[in-house]
Amino acid sequence: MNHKAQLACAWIGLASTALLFVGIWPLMHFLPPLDPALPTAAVAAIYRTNGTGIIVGGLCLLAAASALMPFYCALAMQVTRMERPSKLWTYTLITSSVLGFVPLLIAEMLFSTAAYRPGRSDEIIQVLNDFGFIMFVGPSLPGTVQMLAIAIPVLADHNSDPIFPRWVGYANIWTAILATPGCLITLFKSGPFAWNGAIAFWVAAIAFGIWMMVNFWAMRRAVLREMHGPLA
Amino acid sequence: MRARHVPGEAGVWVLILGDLTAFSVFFAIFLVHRARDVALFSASQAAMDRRLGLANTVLLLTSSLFVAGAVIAARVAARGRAERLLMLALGCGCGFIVSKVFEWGGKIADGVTLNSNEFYSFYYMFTGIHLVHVLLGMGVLMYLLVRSRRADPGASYVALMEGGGVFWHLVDLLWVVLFPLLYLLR
Repeated sequence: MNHKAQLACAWIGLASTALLFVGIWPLMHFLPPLDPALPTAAVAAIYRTNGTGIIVGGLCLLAAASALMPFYCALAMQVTRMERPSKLWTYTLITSSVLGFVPLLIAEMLFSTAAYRPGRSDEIIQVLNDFGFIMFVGPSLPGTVQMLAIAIPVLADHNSDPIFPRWVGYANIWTAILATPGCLITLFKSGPFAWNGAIAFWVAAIAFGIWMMVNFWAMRRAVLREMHGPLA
Repeated sequence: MRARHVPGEAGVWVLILGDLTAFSVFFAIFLVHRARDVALFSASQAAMDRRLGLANTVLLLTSSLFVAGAVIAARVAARGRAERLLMLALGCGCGFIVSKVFEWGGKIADGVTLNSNEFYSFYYMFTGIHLVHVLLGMGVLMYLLVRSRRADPGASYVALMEGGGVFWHLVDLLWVVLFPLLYLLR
């Protein structure tokens, strides 16, 4: 069994999350996200002045999203141990992880496209910016499904020594609920449910951070216990 | 000395307290936005139908009473009584949903929609998110009902009833705070 590889994937998950942060904040300056109510000319000016930062930061998002796939697959290996002989939630976790991160790739490419030709009209740059942020924050429901695809097998785990502690299942339900409101951003241009809002963005982002720390810990613990026995 | 007993199981409290924390943040956000435009919020809130809000509160409080009774019945293995009380609680939940449909329907017919003003955005969003929790809670209650009906409900039955019951009480508690925030603040 490739325990060392699984542990490495756990750390890659953590590192990828940090890389997401590095891309979004110091490079793209999209933390906090651009205000949806910004005037068209102001949006275009941002892409013209910070174009390289946005493009390079976008590459960080691309790299992070790609590297997160082995992390989710390693996590899925633990889910398999919980639900054996079934693979239902394993497959759901893997597919919803892919579905959840494709929009991030597209968002990054939209932001890069907006920065690609500074001579473009302001309106076109703004459309690409709108599309980018809607892609970035909007498709939250695959994430909800993904977190529930962990919660359900954790709570249904009938092993005498459960693979993940039961509270991790409940924590995944909690973060699944908190991650959901992102899908509502197209209804608002301001306030807590806009793409830069306290609830649709910040609560969801913090929930993802908590989710990553909890599941990284649980995954690592499960692999170590499989290697060394229950006192790990 | 009485042995320590965690209702449900320890893990469910991560969800309960986590959700309470999240909603506390939501309520604080509401109050911050309200403070920025007290006149608008007060005027909109004066138009809210307090009787409907009160009816909703009574419905949920009553349903919690039924759920608490069902948990007590489950503890003494009176599963028939638990079943009946769960069904009454589900009935109250249905009443809440119907009332919500009428309340929203009435407002929408009057032209008061999601983006009519900032207060109404909060109103629809928070009551909507709460309604999702009511639906989730009803799903939990239905599962508890199914378990109660089984000839052998299983070793974890009481813990499940307690944990599920606590989630329903959370749903009720959230409304008990939401009601004064949205309907009673002047």
